[in-house]
Amino acid sequence: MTAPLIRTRDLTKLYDVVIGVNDVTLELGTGVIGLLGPNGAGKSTLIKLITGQLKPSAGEIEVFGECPWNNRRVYQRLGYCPEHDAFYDTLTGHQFVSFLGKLSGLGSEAEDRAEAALLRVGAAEYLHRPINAYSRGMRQRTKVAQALVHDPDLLILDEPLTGTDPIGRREMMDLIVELGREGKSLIISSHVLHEVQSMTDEFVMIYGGRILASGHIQEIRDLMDEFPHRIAVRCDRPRALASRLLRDLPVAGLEFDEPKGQIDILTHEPSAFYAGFPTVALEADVGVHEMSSQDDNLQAVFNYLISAR
Amino acid sequence: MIPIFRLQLREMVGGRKLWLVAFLLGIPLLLALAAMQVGGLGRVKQRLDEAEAARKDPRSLHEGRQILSSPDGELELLDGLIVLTEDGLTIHYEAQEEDERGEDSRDGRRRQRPRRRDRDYDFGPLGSRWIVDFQNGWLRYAGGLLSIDPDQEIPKKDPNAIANMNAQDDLNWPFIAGTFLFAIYCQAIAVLMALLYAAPLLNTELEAKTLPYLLTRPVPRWQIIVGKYLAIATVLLPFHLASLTGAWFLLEMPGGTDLLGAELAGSVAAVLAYNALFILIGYLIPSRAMVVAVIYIILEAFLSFIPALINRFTITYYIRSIAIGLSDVVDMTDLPEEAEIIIGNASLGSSFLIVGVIIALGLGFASLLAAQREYVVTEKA
Repeated sequence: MTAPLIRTRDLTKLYDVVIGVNDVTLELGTGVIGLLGPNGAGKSTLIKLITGQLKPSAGEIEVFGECPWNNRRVYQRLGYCPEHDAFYDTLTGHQFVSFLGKLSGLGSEAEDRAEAALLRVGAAEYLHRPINAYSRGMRQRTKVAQALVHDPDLLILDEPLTGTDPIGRREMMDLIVELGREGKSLIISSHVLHEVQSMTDEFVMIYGGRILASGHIQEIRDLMDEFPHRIAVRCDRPRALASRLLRDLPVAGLEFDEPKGQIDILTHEPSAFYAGFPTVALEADVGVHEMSSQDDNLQAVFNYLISAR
Repeated sequence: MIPIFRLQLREMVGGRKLWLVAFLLGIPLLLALAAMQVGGLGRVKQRLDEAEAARKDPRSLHEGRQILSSPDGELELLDGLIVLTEDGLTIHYEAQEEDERGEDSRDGRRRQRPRRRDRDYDFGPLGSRWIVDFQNGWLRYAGGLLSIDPDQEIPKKDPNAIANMNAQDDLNWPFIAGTFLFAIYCQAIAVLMALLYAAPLLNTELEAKTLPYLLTRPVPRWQIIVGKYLAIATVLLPFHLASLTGAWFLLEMPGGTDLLGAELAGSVAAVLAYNALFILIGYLIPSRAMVVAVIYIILEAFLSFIPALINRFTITYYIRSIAIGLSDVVDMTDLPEEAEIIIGNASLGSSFLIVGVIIALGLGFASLLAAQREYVVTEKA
């Protein structure tokens, strides 16, 4: 295995008394890596340390074998897409991207490279319009284009999918997968598990400034599988539905809330459950009013993981 | 550095603040026009011309307007108000003649008038010089600008004081109008415009959250600062110098471009120095840069009038030295040493050198801070 791109040892970052990142020791290799954690978990702090915007309070961090703080050799090989929706608004998308390309040392070719980067993220038709007239999704694409323009080895995208519409999201995910196939290394931060799951199998989970788990998705799934998935269903005849569910679907447990007409279902195989549920409900001839699962958000997954420790 | 320069230029030219710059620089032009047209400085100039004519030919004096001049060139003003002698300045109030019956003639009601007594206030040589300079430098213009009705009678008490005070050789029209322009352009406007762009330079990027784009690119931090600084100067200086030149002609300054050149040079030095200093303030305390810069401005205005060593620590002192050093209006050799200290009497070479050092230090320290300190975009919107 080649030397890791990013290596941290006992990395700690304090903001006054608040801990941003707490004693993180980590090695990240090449490929697409999902950095997962709920809001405020320390994802952005870790990313700012990797991109050399912050200095560690304690411990060490190396990117490409060097300390990234104010290090131009590191910046030369790094593309960063910040989480904030921020631009030099008076510029057009093309001007913005070629300006940042020039800062990365692209000379006269900056304009062409900017155009190529914008085409790649699907922002072709907006090339020469001022950014302040862009939709949120277009702005997001432009932000990714500026991270790509100088063809960096390592791309760090902080919440790249927020604000994109469903089609834009799909295209962005495809782009990330494609960049990964081309041999680029990417770190994608997100607080939505299933988004990242479709782009990569490699994860780092961070919570409360600490690394909770890292590695292949299967390892994390195994951890999660010990804790059943909870689904709430509100319907006409809960008991009739419950008996059919117990017979036909992988259900680990049931809890009734009669006055509300609600059943809480516990399952270890949520995908199979969701796939089979409509058929069962139809066959039982039960009117389903509402179906929800708190487990869809990452916070719940993390709650499981934390209680697993 | 060139992309940064061009970006800043673009941001400034496209930004709304530029209207504020144009507005700020339009004000002194209007002031100059008003001063010449309807009173204030216009009247001062008229008095000066009359005083000059009277000096050449005493018979041309209008009734009631006299210059009382002692043979050895000492100056005494009407009503015995101000006497300037070798020993210093005496302000002398004469008792006014009381109305015979002590009665207000308009409504016939008796009124107790306070008796006035002769009073003398003596100031030593330094104090006297300070007062004369201060009055000529600042208060006269403020007072002159406020009395804007040309037909209004000048108060009886002090009909010719302004003219007479300024009829001395070294206190002439170019000096008065020149100081007026200096005060407005080299000090007030230069500083205000530095407050507009330079002081919030970093904080703008922090608040707009655009800073990470610049910090994660392989550009030395000093190039970001110097590039932006040069763009600020490139935008502000043409406006500034054009406005100053415009005001110059509105004020009907006498021929010759020596004095204008001196003020233009002073303006360039002021704009360059204050912008560099305020960028540094912005990097030292990004979120409070404006407040600190305003406090600095007020503090410097006071300190620059304190003689001896203190005013030598202000930028204004060296800007004054440059303007005075390049002009031939004030003959510094004739002024007492104390006055030189107040006006600004560093040599031309050292003044330029010190302004250069201030610019280098301001930008240098800011660059050092940018390379060492974390400037983090905060999460709050």
